[in-house]
Amino acid sequence: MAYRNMDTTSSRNRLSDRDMLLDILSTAKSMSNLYDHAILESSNPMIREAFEDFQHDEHRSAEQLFLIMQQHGWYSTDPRQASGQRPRKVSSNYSNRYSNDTSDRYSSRSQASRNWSDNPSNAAGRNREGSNYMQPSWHL
Amino acid sequence: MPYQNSLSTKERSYLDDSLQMENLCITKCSIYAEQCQQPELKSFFSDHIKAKRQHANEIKRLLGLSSTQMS
Repeated sequence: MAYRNMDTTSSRNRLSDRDMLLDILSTAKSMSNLYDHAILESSNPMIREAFEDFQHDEHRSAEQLFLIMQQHGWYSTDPRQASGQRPRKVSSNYSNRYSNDTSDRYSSRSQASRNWSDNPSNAAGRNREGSNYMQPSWHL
Repeated sequence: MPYQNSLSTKERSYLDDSLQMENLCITKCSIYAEQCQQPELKSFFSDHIKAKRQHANEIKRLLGLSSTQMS
């Protein structure tokens, strides 16, 4: 099938889902920069508060985008997986083991995943080894 | 209070820039919402458009507010 990898590959006149999210994330980042300057340069308190609200919304959007991308395995925070494009093939066997494992090695990480989201598919979608969930890198 | 309702040149140009960026984001999100493969993303883009519309409207309100007060 020619479009087997449609999820992660952009074609000539259509972006992949991943690239769409990446574009909106980068838009959120640049708007956050704009609002940061706007806040610092505003003298009218009403205008500044509006910019602060916008800035807050941009931060939330960027967080949401990051989490969606991470769920799909499109945004790895593991430096060993620099490409960040690993397909999300995780066996159901693994996700069971993941949630039941109470050893030190995994318990802190499952705690972290609970903090990120209550969605159980979220934890299953993560890459198996060593991603540092507590300190996500926001850089691309 | 004149101070409350007048905008400096800087504030006005930041508002103008912001409005353009918000509108661009709305345009992109509506295209992506149509083209994306996963329904989950479609709903994300739709929600995002709503939030961006609110920003755009608020910016327009702030710009309009000052122009009527100042003229």
